[in-house]
Amino acid sequence: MGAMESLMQGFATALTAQNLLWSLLGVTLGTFIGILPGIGPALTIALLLPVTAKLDPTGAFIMFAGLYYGAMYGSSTTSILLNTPGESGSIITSLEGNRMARQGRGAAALSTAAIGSFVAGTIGTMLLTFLAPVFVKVALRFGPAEYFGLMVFAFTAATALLGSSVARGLASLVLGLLIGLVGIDVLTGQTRLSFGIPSLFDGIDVVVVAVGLFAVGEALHIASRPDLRNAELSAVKGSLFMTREEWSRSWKPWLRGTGLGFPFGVLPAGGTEIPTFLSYMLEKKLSKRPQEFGAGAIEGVAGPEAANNAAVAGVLVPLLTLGLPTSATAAILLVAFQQYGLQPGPLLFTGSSSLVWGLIASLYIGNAMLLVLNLPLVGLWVRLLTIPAPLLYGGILVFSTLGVYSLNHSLVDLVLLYILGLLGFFMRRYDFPVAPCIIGLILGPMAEGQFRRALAISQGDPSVFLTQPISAGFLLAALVIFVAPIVFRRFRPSGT
Amino acid sequence: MTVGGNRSKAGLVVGLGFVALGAIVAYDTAVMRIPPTYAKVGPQVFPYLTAMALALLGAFFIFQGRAGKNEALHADTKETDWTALAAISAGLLSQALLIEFLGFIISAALLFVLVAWGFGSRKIVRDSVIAIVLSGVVYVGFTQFLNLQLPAGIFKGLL
Repeated sequence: MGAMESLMQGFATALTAQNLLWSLLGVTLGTFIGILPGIGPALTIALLLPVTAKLDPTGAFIMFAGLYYGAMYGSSTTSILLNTPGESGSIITSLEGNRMARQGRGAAALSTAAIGSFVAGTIGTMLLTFLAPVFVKVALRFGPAEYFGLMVFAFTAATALLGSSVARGLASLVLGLLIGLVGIDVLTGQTRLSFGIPSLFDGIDVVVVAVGLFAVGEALHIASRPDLRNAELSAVKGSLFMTREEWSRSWKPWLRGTGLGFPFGVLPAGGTEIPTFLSYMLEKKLSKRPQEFGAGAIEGVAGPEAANNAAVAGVLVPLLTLGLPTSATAAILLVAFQQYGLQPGPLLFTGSSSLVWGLIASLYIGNAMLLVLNLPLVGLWVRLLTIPAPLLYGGILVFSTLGVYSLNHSLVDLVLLYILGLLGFFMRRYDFPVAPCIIGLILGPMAEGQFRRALAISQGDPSVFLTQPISAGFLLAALVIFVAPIVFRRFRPSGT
Repeated sequence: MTVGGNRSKAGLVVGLGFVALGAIVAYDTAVMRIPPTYAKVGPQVFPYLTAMALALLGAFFIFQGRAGKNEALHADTKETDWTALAAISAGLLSQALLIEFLGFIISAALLFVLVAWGFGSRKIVRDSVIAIVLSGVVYVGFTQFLNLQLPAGIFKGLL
């Protein structure tokens, strides 16, 4: 069956009244939660996981698709108006976007961000539609050794490319691996690191870790620094309809940003930070007015914002076809699949094809809804940003503990939430990236399983990872990605 | 990040923390009783690797901190509001300790007020009213409409 045909069937699933409602609910909730400062898409989905536990899977995933894109739109609004990016991909947007807002051109910044996100999201989703079947074909040939090589590559990409230094990225990853070890080993039934506490036998729930590191950690971090507590909100000024000049300055950066963002999302190369940064540098270089950069250049919003959304669409390719999460949000989405007993990977496309293609189709629909929802209604959303910080964080923590408690009705989970919150606080305080920890937590047990399965097949001969060409290739690429930044840093002038 | 000539005490503490975690993992793995059939690539390989990585990272951060190198750990702020942290910690721990005893509505409202206080709000009456309304609405919404159970605590039988 061709991609077009599958997609049409997907639209048939997604366009039923009920699923359209789920999509609308998803994009609305996604924008709503994404716009709250300090809350990104990963946390949004983590918080909603317990609530959606009883929905039917197709409806739930259509909602998650809406949430996934919605939270991205919401985050960019916040970073433009408040200069507090909700997730790492929006950091660059806030550079120029917030400047524009302060000069009274906030509306134009929001417009170019929203339309750019729409363009990039749509192109990205199209590329996903046609790339996914190709990936599935390749993935069907992967055995345990290949998967292990791929995961090691994803680990190194996450540690080397996220955050300020390789050592800190690695430390965060290893902490994730450590948390992933807790519980009963699936292959032998041995309990590990559970210290005789029964509720640890099933392992530490990813939702607890994500909510602890993101929500509680962020709240403790902001509260500890009085200088961060009250960010200054810029009002939306100017016209939402971009001028002819703004259009002509935006469309090329949108397309270039998409071209940069998508491949970075597809390759397990660390998510959205790098393509947004590259897009910013590229636009600055190509611009006829480089002096405007740093003082509110519209290209500096249009390019990175498109790169961000294209990367977010790209991340879905390895997630859906290989079961490989390459960003914190994708890791949480993977958990959402597992909650419904679905394992993303090549077999998902044959076993649950109506669900997968329904999800992909609803990405197109959600993206269009978001454009409508965000541009005319932006004034309404902005009101959310006027909630005073004490009440906002009070509410966020009430919902965080609620979400965690309703997972298993376990008090141990609430204590763990606090401990992980403290960990998240110290990670922020000492500048450790959080995303590698989540990726390590999800991928660690998967990598271990593939590693042991590969060795069981080869009867204990470890050379299997190096004699299989695909696996050896991934391991080599992992080595390169690890060594390259160290070499690169040696030759880079300081101060960047 | 400050470069050079800046020793960091945090590096020592964090480094020792990593080493200690590594030791715990190694000990827990060593006392595991493994049936001989699994001895070859059993459940111990990955924990030992993790323990080793933790110990190496710990040593690295201790060294970097003592020598004042690039990777020395420094807090991102000079002023830290520890009272705010204590208030939020108290809120989260009281939520864990009291949710089943006093019920969700009261423990969540307490959490809300303590967090708001931690973030600098001193309007305790306003915060308490908002907190009670919020946790009450959430309780009813969850138990009546989403069919998710939350502890009623002292209101048991009333709601």
